[in-house]
Amino acid sequence: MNNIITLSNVSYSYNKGTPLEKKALNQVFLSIDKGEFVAIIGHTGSGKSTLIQHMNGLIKPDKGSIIIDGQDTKGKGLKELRKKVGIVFQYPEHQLFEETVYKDIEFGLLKHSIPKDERKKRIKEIATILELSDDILLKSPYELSGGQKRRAAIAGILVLQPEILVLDEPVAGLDPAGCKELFNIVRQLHLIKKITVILVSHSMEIVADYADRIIVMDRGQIKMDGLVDEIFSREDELRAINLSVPQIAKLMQLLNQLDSTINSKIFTVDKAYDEILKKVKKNHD
Amino acid sequence: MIKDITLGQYLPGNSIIHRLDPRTKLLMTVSFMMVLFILNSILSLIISMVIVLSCYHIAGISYKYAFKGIKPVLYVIVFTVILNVFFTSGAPLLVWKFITISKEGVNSAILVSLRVLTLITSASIMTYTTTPIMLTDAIEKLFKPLKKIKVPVHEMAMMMTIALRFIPTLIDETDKIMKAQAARGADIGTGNIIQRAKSFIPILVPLFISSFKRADDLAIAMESRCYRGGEGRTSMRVLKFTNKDLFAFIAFVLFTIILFVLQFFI
Amino acid sequence: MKSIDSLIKTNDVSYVYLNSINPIKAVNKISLSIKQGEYIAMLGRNGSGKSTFARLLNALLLPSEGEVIVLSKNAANEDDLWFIRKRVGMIFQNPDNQIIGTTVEEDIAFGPENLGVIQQEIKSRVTQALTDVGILDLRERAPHMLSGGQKQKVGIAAILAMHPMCIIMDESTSMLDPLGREELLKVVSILNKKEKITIINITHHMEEATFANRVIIIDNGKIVEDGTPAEVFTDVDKITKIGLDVPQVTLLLHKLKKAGYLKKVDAITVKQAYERIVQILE
Repeated sequence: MNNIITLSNVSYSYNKGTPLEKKALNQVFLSIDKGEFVAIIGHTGSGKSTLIQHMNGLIKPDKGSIIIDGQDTKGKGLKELRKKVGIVFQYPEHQLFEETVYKDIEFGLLKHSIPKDERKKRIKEIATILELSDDILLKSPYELSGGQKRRAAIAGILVLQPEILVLDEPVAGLDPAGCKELFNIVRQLHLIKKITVILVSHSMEIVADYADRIIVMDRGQIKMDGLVDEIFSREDELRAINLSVPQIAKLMQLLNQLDSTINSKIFTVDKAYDEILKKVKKNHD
Repeated sequence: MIKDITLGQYLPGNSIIHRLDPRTKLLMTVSFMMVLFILNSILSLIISMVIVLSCYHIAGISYKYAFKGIKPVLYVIVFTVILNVFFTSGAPLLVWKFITISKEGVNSAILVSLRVLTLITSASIMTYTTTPIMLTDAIEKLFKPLKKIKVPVHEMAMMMTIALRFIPTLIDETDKIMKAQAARGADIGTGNIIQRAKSFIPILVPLFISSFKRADDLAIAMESRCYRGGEGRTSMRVLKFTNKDLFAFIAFVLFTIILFVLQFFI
Repeated sequence: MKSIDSLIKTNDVSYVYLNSINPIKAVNKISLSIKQGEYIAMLGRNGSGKSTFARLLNALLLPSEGEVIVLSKNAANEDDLWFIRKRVGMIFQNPDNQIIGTTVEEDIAFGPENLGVIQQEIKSRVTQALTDVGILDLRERAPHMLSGGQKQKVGIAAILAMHPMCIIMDESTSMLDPLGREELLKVVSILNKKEKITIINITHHMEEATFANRVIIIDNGKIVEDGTPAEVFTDVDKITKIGLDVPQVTLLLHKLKKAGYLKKVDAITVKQAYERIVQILE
């Protein structure tokens, strides 16, 4: 595996030198490999948002360094870096501003001086993936529905063909159906295009369904880092920092206390179903 | 970062100046400014300055803050001083080649700079010791008589309150939008003047749109909480003149008389 | 106060948005009766008409057809408008866009001030409301320094200070993090139990329905389900078809039922599901 993101000993404070100084990141070490699907969890104010803004140089560390694909974020070539790392912020539809959806998606391409034919090709491709019809592309972004707006905004990032996609609460405010649609697209991109995905989410169910690895942040530090099943089996520690585990993880732990042969490291409905069926069949024999 | 801008100058405290009725402070500040324009003796202006600085002392605000407000207008002061010193005609004090400095010139330069400095420090002490919302209240109450001639005093005060409430929110939002556009490769505020102006469009358009949305939401929220204009409305904060205010007024009048006496008789 | 059967009653209420090229019927002949003290979760997809319906309940919108009766008063009657809004308070989705005051205290006083309550009483109402919601310590804070959850609690306190009988939450949890959401729902639950204030929580988070004693699902401007949470969530296929989710454990039980191990799906919490599964295992 090759490493694509490396943070070593990163610290950052807001309002430095004023009475309001607040340490947002405190000696963070982190490394992420190419092609991983990583979820970052932690309650509001734990430093998640500050952490992801370091990944494309929007924030530069006070101490320590961040190397993205061999490039230090403190060095030159920020623009190239931002093409490589696409960040979709919370409520990305708030950044739409052009007359048409097409032009809005084109904005980033123009900023990176991509030639016209290439622009056209890329927009067409991304619009197909995100199910934005030609009809929608010609509309004003403000005429779209909530879900369409969200996809249009995300298209504006994806069209730059980032190698790393960072999503900050991408489904906030969407209903369950819209939420599923969006994540299926992200999963596709991850599997087919091998994009490295970093997902910040409050929903443990979503994290359980999509991520491979979880990073738990608390008070500016990385509290836990591991595979999904490992992290969700440490419910007490998560609860201590005001985080929860998916319903199914709780259920399986209760069942495990009743019968220790039941696997407690399960957190999706499908796996729980299989496990319970296995047990039922065994009991009937 | 844009977020670091602090809004309002209010410095919390519990001094007698903090506790004065905002109407007292507003009226006194405005009258004091008028007095400053009338005064034209250096001695009176120096004493005025001493009075203002002692107010800082009473309010427990460090003198450092008194001069913070001056920084932005420093160039203006320097410029007027130069103008006055070199271009006022009168009895020559110093002559060097074609430059003549007159006694009157020096005198008026000192007068003007003292006046401006005192003006700014006195206005600042009011904003340092009064919350913006108290000032709004004071303005609403003081201008109440204008309602009779159909000036929408309540509405204007409500607008000021809402502006004060939303400025920090909008600053926050601007910061977010700037970051989001930068993440797509926008370079904000670089290049020649036209490029620079253009680079703000991706920030201003979303900001306007969201402000309209906020205004809409806020109107609905206000309506659902039974807001129907100033008619029949009561207020939790009631302004009340107390002995402190009376004392402050008397002190103010006395000082004013002394200042004028000094000017005309000495 | 004399006892009244229904706090809010709607008779064949419809609402049509006329401002677009083709008028949209957002609410389509809804008849409903809401009793004092109920805790209702109102669910539906984005654009299902649930928010429009909510705005009809405190006369922020007036019905295109049919009528809304609040405490025997017709919402369409302009004279009763303020009476109704005082009794049926509403908090909204974006916590930032509903705080008017520059401090928490001032914001909570805004409602009573509009109602013309005398100064001394406003103060005591503000203190009471802040205490009920448990944010007395935030009294003098500026709104922009608060977290989302705290802001929404301010919203609830602001309504309480107007002495309401019903609080409608129009997707008020959708912008909060899980902790903020949980705390807000806790506060609302207490108000419902202790003060018998009717709660209508409009949301698309299924888990929130577990706090309610009645669940109403709206789709295409019509009520498609109305019952206790356990009753409504039984029909998992119908709910997923509408585009809504059910809690993970409910989905699990649904699968077990399909496989023939369960007769019905009637669990929405982990504890309930645990009991059902233990039965299967035995």
